[in-house]
Amino acid sequence: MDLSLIVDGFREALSGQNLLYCGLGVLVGTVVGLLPGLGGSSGMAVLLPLTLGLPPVTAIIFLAGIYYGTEYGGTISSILIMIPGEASTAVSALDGHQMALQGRAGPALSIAAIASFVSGTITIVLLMIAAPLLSGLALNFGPPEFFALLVFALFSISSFSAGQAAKGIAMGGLGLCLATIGIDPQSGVGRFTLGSVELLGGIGFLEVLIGLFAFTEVLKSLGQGAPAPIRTGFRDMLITRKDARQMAGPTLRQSLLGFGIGVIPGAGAALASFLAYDVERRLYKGERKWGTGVVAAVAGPEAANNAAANGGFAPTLALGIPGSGSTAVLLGAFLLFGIQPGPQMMVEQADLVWALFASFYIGNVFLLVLNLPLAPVFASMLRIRYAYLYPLILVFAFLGAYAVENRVWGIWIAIAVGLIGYALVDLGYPRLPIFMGMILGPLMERSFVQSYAMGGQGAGIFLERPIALVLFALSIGVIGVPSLARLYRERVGRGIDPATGPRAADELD
Amino acid sequence: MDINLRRHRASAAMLLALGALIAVVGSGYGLVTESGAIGPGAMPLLAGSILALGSLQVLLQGPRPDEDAAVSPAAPEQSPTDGSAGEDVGGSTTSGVSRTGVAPMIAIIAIIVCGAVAVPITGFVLASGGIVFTILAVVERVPTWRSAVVALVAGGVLWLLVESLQIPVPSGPLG
Repeated sequence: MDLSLIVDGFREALSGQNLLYCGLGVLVGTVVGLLPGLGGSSGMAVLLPLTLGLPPVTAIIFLAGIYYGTEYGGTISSILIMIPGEASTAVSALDGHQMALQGRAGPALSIAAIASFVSGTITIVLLMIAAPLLSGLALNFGPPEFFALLVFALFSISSFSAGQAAKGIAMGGLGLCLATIGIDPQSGVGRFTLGSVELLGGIGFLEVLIGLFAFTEVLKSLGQGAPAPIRTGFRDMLITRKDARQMAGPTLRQSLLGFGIGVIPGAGAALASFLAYDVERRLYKGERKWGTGVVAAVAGPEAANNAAANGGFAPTLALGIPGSGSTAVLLGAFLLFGIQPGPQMMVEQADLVWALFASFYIGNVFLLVLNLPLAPVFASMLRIRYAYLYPLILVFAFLGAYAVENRVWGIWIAIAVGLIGYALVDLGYPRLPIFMGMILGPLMERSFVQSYAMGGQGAGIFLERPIALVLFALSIGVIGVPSLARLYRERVGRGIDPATGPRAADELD
Repeated sequence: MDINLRRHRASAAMLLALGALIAVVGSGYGLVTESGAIGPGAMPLLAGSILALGSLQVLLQGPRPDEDAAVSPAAPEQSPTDGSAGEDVGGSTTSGVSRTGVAPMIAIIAIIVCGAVAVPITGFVLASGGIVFTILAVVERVPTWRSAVVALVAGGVLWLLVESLQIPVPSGPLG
């Protein structure tokens, strides 16, 4: 790696105009990301026309700033009001919102910002060093491996649900079912459309996200009572040393895992955040119960989604293959400006590439500098009585549901899903697997169809791919091992007489 | 029979039936195409089967006493009331909402449904302002003038967002 390229890249990125647009992009992106349904690729697509009059490097830097900003904006709304702005911030809503309700919204936001910054820094370096190499390796991760990874992700996160894996798996299946509604992209056949033109387009996952999180949460609060406004002082809004210690491990781990997932074309930050949540949950040994405001449950997924976002740039820049929806918009911007991403780009337009890498880092710094001091300010929103907040939450959520496809149908979907979601939550069913099933379902179907075709119209190909076999075995393991362990514990428990102790179990045998 | 057990079994049975229905109807779309490729019915069969099998296991296992943990988080702990700083904005200092229970939930649902119906007629901004005002004034029993102010502010912010982000919402009388 030529150090002069890095120096030139930073010099270009730190020029007055580029610095200004980077900061502006981060700020605009954060505001856009706050609105559910409008973050990420939607925000970038809406703002892309504004960049057409700018020099190519400046325009791309502006869009990259928006990209980072929307990721963090989505986290703010996830943590404060339980409305994820993006699919990749959905898991942060679980424990992050619990922290907010306990008067720790400031630390939760700060943890998210710092974890994102640290993972961004680590993964930008990885990107600089290894983008072409990693992209080449990622191409070996074909449809069979991708399908196996998705099955593992779905079963793994679903198996940890409400202490009853079966409910999580059922909800994962429900999400997969919802994802099948509409026109099948492989064959063009309409499935479960009931003769409705509206259903031909399927049910969008963003509308479901808004319904499941925003509307269901409001109904829950009305049904069970909303928390009182927070009373914490300013100092309580700051991150503590204990928080910093607890977030260190998850942040570093998930920076690497998230980057690895992000490099795989099509994987996306959402999958990385789901897997990060699951990995950290399995490694967690703290006293506080998982799901009740655990620092690792915020830091890990936030680090992973930022790392995956950076990882997604690797196939985009090195191969011209977008890693996610947002990088697809960025790729479109490249083409608009006459830049052809691919292996040649790294050689022929090295100055642009290194300026871009440098701007990623600067955008990361801007995120931290802008949002860390503002975290207590954002968190102060929770001083407002909930009775005033939730009507505003509802109308902004509905704006997001409408804006996804610019039709009222999105609002109806959000309302219907919200009602169903409330009923399911009341019965003890978890929401996250539903959403996961919707996100992963189309990816699973596509990769399975591709794998089947690769195998000469047969499923035997899965038996020939070691990585896929390992992932399938892990999928069975995450379901089977806890169930067997529980059965064993119950059997041993029945054999223990509280008065006499463990010997009673031997006697029963 | 315990009411919780009844609810548990009824919900699991409904989901089981739904999963089975989806699997059966979905396979009708064809599991394999004429060329031997995976057909459009394969994924619905798989998805419906997962839903049905998971629900069957739920039905057989019965409710667990600790089932409200983890992904459906526990009730939040209240923030410490140490009397420092923390000024409440807007009223009661002891609770988040005025009323809880089924009645306010039904009222909210009705208001939102009416609001969604009104969107194409009155425009998004006006309908949203109406939703905010009605919820505050009727459900939360906030004084009318205060409800109106909050609704106006909300409508104004929404209008700004819509205009700045060029979201083509129905405009109604606002044009």
